[in-house]
Amino acid sequence: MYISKIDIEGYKNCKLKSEIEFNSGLNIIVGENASGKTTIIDALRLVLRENESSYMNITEDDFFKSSDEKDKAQNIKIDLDWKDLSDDEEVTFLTWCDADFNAKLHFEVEDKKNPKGQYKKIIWGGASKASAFEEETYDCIDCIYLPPLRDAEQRLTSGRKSRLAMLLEHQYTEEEKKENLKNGLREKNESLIDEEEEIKKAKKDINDYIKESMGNVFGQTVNLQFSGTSFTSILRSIKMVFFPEIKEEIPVENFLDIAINSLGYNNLLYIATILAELEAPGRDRNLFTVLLIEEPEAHLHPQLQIKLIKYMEQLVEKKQHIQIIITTHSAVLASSVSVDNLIHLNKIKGEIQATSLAKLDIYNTSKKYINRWLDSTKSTLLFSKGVIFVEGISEAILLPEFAKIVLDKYNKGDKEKLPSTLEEAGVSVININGINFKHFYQLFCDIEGRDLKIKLPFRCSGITDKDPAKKEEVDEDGNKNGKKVEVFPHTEGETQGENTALELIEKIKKSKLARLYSSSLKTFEYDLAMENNIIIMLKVIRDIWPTDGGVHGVKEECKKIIEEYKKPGNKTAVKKHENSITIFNRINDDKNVGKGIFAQELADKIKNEIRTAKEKKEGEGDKDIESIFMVPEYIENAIIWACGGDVDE
Amino acid sequence: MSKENMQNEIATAICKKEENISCEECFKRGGKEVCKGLDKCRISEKTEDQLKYVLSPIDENTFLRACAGSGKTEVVGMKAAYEISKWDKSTHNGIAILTFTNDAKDVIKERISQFNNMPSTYPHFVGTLSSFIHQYISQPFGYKYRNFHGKNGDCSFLVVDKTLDSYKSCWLDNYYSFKIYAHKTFYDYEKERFYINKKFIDVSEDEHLNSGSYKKYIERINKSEDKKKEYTIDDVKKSIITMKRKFNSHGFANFDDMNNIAYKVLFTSNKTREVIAKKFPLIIIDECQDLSWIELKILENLMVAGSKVHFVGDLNQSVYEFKRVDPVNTREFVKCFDSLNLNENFRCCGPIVTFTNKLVPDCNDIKTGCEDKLKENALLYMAYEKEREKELIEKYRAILKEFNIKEETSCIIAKQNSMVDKLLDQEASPSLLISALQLWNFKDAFQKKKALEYAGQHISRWFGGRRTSKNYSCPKDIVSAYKWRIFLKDVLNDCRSKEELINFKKNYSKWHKQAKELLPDIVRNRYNIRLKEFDDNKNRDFNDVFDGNWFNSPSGLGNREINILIPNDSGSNIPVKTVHGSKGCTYDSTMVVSSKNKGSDLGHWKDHWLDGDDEGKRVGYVASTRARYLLVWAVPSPTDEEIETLKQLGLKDAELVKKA
Repeated sequence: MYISKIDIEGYKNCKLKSEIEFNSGLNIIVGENASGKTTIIDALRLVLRENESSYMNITEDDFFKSSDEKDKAQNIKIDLDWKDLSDDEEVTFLTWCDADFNAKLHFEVEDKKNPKGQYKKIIWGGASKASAFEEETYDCIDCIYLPPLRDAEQRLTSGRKSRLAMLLEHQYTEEEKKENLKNGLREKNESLIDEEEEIKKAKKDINDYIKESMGNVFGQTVNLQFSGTSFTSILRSIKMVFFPEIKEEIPVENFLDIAINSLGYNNLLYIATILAELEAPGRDRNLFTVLLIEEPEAHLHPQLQIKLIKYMEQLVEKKQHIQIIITTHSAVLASSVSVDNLIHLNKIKGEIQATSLAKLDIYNTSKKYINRWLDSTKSTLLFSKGVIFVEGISEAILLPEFAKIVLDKYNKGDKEKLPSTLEEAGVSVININGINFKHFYQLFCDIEGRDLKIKLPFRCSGITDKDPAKKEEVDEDGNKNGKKVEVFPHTEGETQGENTALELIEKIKKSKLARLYSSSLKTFEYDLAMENNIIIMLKVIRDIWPTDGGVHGVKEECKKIIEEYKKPGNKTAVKKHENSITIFNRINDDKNVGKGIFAQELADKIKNEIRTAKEKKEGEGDKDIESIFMVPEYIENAIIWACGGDVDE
Repeated sequence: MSKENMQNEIATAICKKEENISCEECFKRGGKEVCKGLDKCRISEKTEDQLKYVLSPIDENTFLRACAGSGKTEVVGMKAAYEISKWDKSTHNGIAILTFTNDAKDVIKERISQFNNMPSTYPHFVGTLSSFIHQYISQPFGYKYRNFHGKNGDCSFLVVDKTLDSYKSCWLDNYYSFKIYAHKTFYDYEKERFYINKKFIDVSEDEHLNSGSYKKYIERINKSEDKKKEYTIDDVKKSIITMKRKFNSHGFANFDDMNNIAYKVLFTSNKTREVIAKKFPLIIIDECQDLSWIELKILENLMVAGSKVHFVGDLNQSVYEFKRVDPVNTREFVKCFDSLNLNENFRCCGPIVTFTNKLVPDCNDIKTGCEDKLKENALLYMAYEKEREKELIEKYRAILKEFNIKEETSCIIAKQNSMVDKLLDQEASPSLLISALQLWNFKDAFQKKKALEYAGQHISRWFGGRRTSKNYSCPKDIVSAYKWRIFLKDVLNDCRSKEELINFKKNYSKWHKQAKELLPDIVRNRYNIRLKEFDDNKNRDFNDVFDGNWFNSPSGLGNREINILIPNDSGSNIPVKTVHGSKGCTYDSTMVVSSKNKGSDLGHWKDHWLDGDDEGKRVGYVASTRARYLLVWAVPSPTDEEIETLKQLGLKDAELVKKA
């Protein structure tokens, strides 16, 4: 069996009823801060009684409260569903089963205290409150919680909270052996303490003093012994020490106290202790185990994170009774498992929206593609509020700068204001290195244009090149010579695009959250140039063109064209076209510059000019940010869409 | 296995006795926890037959016939404790030990806990048969088979008492057509027809619909102008089905429905009955003679799916014909079971056993295991005259005194509730509220309780109606039965503080007129202080309730003077119980009071207990097998012939004892 769903309402930061579905085995919950990750984990702990004391005491803080405290939840309702019960589990969990033999557990608290100041909890199983409910069924569920930034040290040293003691307890299957341990320690206790003159003297002194001060009637007698003689307290007094290498024979005195170990390694030792407990012989084989781990990445470097998550993946594959639910902010962690394990969270108007990526309607080939593709840089999309897909490195570098210009312009209008940069808007630009948009868009919409329920619940846009087909070259006589040449259109309607992604545009447009825009003429750089950005682009080429090697005279050529083009009356359509072609050819000449370097330089330039403009603006209001660079409409649309603005369609 | 071996086996398992010593030896050495305070080892005092049952195999369906006073409860408790101690702890399935009353459940639970010192009985279930059927079958699974989709996510059925009366604008009116309420009807799978409850008895639909008054009713509606068609009995029958479906699909069910739902769940879903059978591979039924046809069918379904059952009981003590229980069905059911017998009656002395063996068939083998203290005085009869029943109490007390029997360990038993009320001075006045207010002033807790019951019965009508007679008729919308009780207490106290309401020296009409003016404020006020926050109905409007003819004196009694109850100050400590209430109980002495007339429902000594049908004889048998040393039959003015009959049976005139 596995937890298939949790419904939460009125609890912690979740106001409206929110449904979160889980997969069997491994679940990785990702999402930006305050999206409800901890609320989900806490709800599971509460309902599954991970911590008896927190279960006993519901406090005012557990009820949802808006920041101004005006809006307060009247009830907490948490419902848990399990699916796929085995034959044995159906019997064990009978009183939690509904008529279709799925298990259900309900937890309700009303915001009303009894005279003792406690909230009344209603807990029931199955479909009806009036059916039998066996409390003991809780004993068949083991919920283990590993908090973030955990104090591993405390759990591994001696004391009441010792997790180590639990592991050791589960190693014992026979009462006799427990007795042996107790007796062994008692003997040592007696012999050791009785032989020590110093201790004996201390004991005598205390007892004498008692007799003197309290007399024979009220007096008591004390003995001194090592702490803990019951089985549990012996185990609790055992602590862990470490040696910083894996080695066979290490002298006892060389082990170190874990207080001086690194936080990261202590965390791992703690996790290892818990995992070892799962294998302990004294543990019920059939115990359904939920492991809740919050931010396991804390204190771990990326390679260790990956190693750990891979181990968990194997663990749930081997053991049917274990379900692991992990929350994370780590893109490394998120990208090292199959997308089927990921659950994306988003909080919209008090409701946690959870999307189980396993349940997305993605074509199998696309799923494989996404699994390969979703590396640690790209998986940032899972932590974003919006995303813009681009074809290459140039777009990825330039879009954040364009966005400043686009958003500045947009915010001057009378529409609802947007953030002023992509970072502020939480929008990631993601380079898909090509035109395989069809794979990624399935995360957000159906590429067939159907309206599907399950999708990532935030906006996504993308830009793609029109890429008109090459034309066969025609010689002076009007004959085709079989050579194909680039086409450089003047206007949008002039050519047909050859890019296969273009077919998707209209279908995607039918969806609620996704859009794809294409350049109107040819490619990214050509379209930028044709948008009247000739001078700034030429300046960049001039600046970055190598002085040695390659084509000589390019720097001079640029300088000349800029001067020429600046002259009044020269900015004709013919000149613009001509110069755009020149720019296109120079940038695409990989030997000397390359698109990436050009984009980087242009981005820097725009960034500097925006900064200067902003500084000036405060004093004089001179130069407009808008005029620094003319952003083509398709890019503008993509940025505004991803940031949540209005785009005219 | 020898008796000693059996003792050894059981003691090792449940008392954790060391294997190498005998039970006697163990007891001599101070015994185990379970023997503390006893003068004999708990196990060695058992008869061979009793031990045999404790060790009987649990993979065989078994019928243990246990006569009255055979120590059945102790043996069932020990059997359960023995099996629980040997149960495989690694599984989560268990034994269901089912009784018919909560008292019996508590006794068995207590016995089990004496042997197995555990905080809970999990994974085993000890409870009443109906709580088992409701909680494990009808409630968790029934919704699916009755198209009930739940209220606020909860698919529990609200169990409604079929004997509830409806009145003006009651919620039950939503399930009412052709003058028949859905909560009063139920389908009988055995007879394959619907039954309709008429307060004390259920009648078949044909009987009800073909009665003269009902036929007249149909004629009347067929004559009315706005009728849509000519209605026939078949239309009514169809409407009964429709109403019942609606009633169930809205989440309501009466007790009979709950059994039907459980039956339906089990015979429709193989899977469900298999899982329940796996959860409870052994079901022990105490008092199996009280199983109805449908309950037997439910158990049969679980048996088909793999459960084994142990039936324990005495078919001669089956007295629930009014719940359509016929021990013939049970007898048939256990035919193929392994059969064991406990025929030693440790409760009743020799003369009483000899006497009661004559009352019912098939019990000549029953012998006594109890000391005979009173010899020829153990069986007496006492004559009483009509309307002078209360004199019986004084006479009976005199006899108890004569024989040195404590009043507290004796009991007066009668078949009818009305007779019990008469003997206890609890007769209800025709107006429930007047009775409540009068009884409320009595010191006795029983009478105060009765006062709350009467008040609850009446006042719940002003709250849209109750759903069961339990919890002082707590209305359907009030979520806390406790707060309801407090509310009733407050209302009664407030009423008693008004001179007009406690001065009963007037006629009914005058009292009601005054009450009609005072009650609305009292009820409203108390409701607002204490009850409002526990009311699911947030828009309750008493103006609708306290309007028009909402509170009138009982019809035809307006001019009659109010009957004033006088507290019973006789100082008698003898409890008074009904035959059904005395089931399973043991007293040093009992006086069994026959009803006055032969027309009573199975309550007359001669017409029912001696010469009646099987059920009548069994009622007499149950009532007469409660006493240890002294049994008195109180009979209404016997004729000479009747006196002869009594003497023949071995009963002696109580007057003779007094003279001696």
